[in-house]
Amino acid sequence: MKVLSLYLLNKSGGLIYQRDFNPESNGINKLSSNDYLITAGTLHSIHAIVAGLTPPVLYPIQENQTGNQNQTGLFQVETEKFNLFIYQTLTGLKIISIVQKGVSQETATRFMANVHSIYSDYVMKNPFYTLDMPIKCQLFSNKVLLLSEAS
Amino acid sequence: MSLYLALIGTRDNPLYEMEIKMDPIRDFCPFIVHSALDIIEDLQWKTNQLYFKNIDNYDNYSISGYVTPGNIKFMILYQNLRSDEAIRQFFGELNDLYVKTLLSPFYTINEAIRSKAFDQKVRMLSRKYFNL
Amino acid sequence: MSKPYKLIGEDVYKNRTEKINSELFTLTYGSVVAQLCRDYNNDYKKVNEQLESMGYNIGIRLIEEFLAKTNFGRCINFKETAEIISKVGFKMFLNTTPTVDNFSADGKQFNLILEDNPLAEFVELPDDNKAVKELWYSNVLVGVLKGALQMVQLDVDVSFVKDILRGDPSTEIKLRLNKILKDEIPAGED
Repeated sequence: MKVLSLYLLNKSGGLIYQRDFNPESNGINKLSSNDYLITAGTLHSIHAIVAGLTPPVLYPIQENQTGNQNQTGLFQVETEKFNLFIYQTLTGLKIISIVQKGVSQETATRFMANVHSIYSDYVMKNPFYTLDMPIKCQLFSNKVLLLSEAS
Repeated sequence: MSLYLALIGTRDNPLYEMEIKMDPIRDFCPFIVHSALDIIEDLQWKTNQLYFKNIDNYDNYSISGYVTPGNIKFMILYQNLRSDEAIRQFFGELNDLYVKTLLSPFYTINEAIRSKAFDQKVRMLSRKYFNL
Repeated sequence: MSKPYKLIGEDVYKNRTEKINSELFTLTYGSVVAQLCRDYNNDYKKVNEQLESMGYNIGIRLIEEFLAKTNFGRCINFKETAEIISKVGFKMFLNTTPTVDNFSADGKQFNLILEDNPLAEFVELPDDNKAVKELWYSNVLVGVLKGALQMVQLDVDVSFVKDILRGDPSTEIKLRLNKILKDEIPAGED
């Protein structure tokens, strides 16, 4: 599978990590850092709006095996060139990945669950990282890159 | 049967004392043991053993000692104890107890051992090995 | 209906966690507490506070690891939370499973009884007659629980009520649910 881009949003919708993979050849435009912040904030808002629009369900959606708690919010955006998936943890962390067309939802979800696992190891366990702040951890970046290449 | 036990720190300072049925010479025990320290300090560098049997005596009391690798000395002054092997095992278990005390975060090396639990366990050991 | 949390806990502990020598862990925690006692001149109330706040900082981080490794969703009620804390949380991080006891009638309060506390092995409190009354030696756990639960939007009061080190018959932590921080539950969770 080809991951084009990865975003991490804290629980208030602030962008704490953004990365394009193979920016020269992956066919996705590079934006200014300000635009990335706006993109993140917008996706966060739409996610909340969608969740607000969804009527409460009588029978909760069946349990998933990945820890993705995003049940009624914006889940997927499809475009001509790529798909975007949103994954949310119980603590409100959003993991957003932009992937090539044709990549299945399961594959993308699995990728994002793995990102969550790396995040819990290399960001949360870094004693000098402050919660909800931009992630500047080199180890995390390296691991994410490896993961994107392996997926 | 009678027994006096002293744990001696690295600066020849007492860490712990216990005596059972030592009435006739109770007040001298620390002095007798202290005078035997010189002997054990001479001996300890000549062997790689930890246990030193019968290094000295006073009247009809004998003195044996055990030196931990950390140079803490366990000294006993005794009369009519059961067997040599019992003494050796007693020292072994005493060393385990001492190590556990050392592992407590609030205990620092060479500090007097005031723990009641330690005292109780030492007395249990002397009951177990010497019937005291 | 109740899920096999015991099995899940054992599985996660066995297959998905890194392990260290327990004595290294115990001695490390011990020297932290002893150093705090020295730094605060045996003001044990301060030491308790400090341990709790250290624990809090661990908890808000550790919860992410817990969720990533277990894939649990939101609990239906506080009873389920209790089960998960004891059978999965404690099992996973400390390899011990405290007993859940004394659930209050309103379902908002329970005690965790730690039969064996890996933090406190070898420990004897200082014999200054104050420590046994004031120091909660393992108070870091209180902070961890509080921090972790807060991150999943549960405002819980956590405190030690008994400690074997103080001469009590058991070691017990009391948890009381204040409220569910509904406003902070992330949107989109059903």
